[in-house]
Amino acid sequence: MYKVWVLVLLTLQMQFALADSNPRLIQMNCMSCHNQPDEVIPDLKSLSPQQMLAALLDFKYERRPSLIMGRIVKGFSEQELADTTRLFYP
Amino acid sequence: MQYNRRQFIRQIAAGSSLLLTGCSGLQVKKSYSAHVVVVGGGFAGATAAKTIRQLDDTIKVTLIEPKSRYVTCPGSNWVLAGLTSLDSIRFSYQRLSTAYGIDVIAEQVESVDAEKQTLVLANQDQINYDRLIMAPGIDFNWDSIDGYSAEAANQIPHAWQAGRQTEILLQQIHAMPDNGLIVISAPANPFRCPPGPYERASLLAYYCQRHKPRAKILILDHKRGFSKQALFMQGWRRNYGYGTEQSLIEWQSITDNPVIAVSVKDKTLLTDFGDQIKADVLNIIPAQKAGQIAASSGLTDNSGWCPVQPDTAESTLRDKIHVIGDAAIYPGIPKSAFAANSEAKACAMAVVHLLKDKQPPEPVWMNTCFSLLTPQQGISVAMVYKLNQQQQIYKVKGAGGVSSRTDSQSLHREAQIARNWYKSITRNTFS
Repeated sequence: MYKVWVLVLLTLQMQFALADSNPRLIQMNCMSCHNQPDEVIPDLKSLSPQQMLAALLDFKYERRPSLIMGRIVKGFSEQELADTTRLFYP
Repeated sequence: MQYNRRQFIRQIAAGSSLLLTGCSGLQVKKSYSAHVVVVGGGFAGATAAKTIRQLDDTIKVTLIEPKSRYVTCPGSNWVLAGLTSLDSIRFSYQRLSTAYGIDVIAEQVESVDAEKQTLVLANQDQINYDRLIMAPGIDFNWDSIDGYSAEAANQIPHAWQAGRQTEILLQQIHAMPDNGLIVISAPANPFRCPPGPYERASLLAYYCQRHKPRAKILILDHKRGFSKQALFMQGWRRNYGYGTEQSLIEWQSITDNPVIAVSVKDKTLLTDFGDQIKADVLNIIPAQKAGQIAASSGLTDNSGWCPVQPDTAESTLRDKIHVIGDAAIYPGIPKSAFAANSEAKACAMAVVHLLKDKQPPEPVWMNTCFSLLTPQQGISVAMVYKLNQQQQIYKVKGAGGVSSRTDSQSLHREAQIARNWYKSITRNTFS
């Protein structure tokens, strides 16, 4: 009986565990806004990988105020943000 | 969508030989791994064409768009308020051709044969494809309002496809009397750019405040609520006296009493209950459907829009044809330029994988719609969308939503971001 429950729980977990989104696709979506940086929308290339990830996580956990970014990065897991950040620095 | 190696090789072989012999308009400079044809050069089509070439330059990409330059709907309300010129929201396809090697053909598509994977242009040229991406944008349900038609739109503009229509509306607003009444008839969902009619009302009010101070803007809405409604109404109260007798803007839901006819000559609307509303400037934004070529290619369902498998954007009605942008049904995702650009990227990624006989990666889509209340005040709505195990699109919990800060400084900064976003996304799409 115990094994059956474990199997059921594992199956349910698998059903709800969604795959991470493709980081290249996320990166391409970033460029919709960050393709022509100025004083309002920052140039992502001006940040180091560590600075970019730290900023994204600060937006995600509301440690840093934002008008737009907080609403966007909450859509992604820490892993997705880390994988995407790496792509900006090949 | 399962592919095997044999199917793939057969497809490429067919595509390559047809490239060499089948298209009088195409000069083959080198052998390509596959041929993707994109129909429609708006935010969806142009982005898809460019992204495929960025992801895999062994794929030949042909973009078919009859207009030599595209006038964006985003920014067209800014033109109406005199904040920018029509020329500044017009983009050519030259960069797509020179920088990305996309073959741009300025022609109308006459027909698509999904079985033979062929399309015929108005000049009778035939083009073969391995994958076809359709981004035909919108068409109008003219018969939803008696007396309204493509011809009548020359006098009663919709201005929902930017360009000449924007100019007509602009000229009429400039010519109307100082105490003129502008009536905007806003459609039921779904339609292109859900916050668009309300940004238009906001910026026309801004214009009237300065040039026609006794004018009034009446929105007759065929739905009970609208995108960013609370933020718009707050902005209207703040800037245009909304809710008072002197308000420049009035909003009425006419869901139960819809507009059924128009007298073009008298600029008068007739509603189902017999009300007559006479305007000085009448702006009818009609009910919409997918662009005409989508319907004639068998890509639309009873709704008039194109059902697709969200993971690849492949039509559920025709194999190897993908539909993106306003014409496609992406449940929950609004028909916006941002979303069209995002759908195009996910579709391009999927198409490149399918052509290599690989499983497409997990998709993701984003959207942010900015609107100006005044040139100095902006608001937005944003969301991130993913796919669940049942292949349904869902809004990521905790993400997105409307602007939460409405103090003057935040509104001002959002207006700046809106303008910069426009520069960025048009560059991302057309350059």
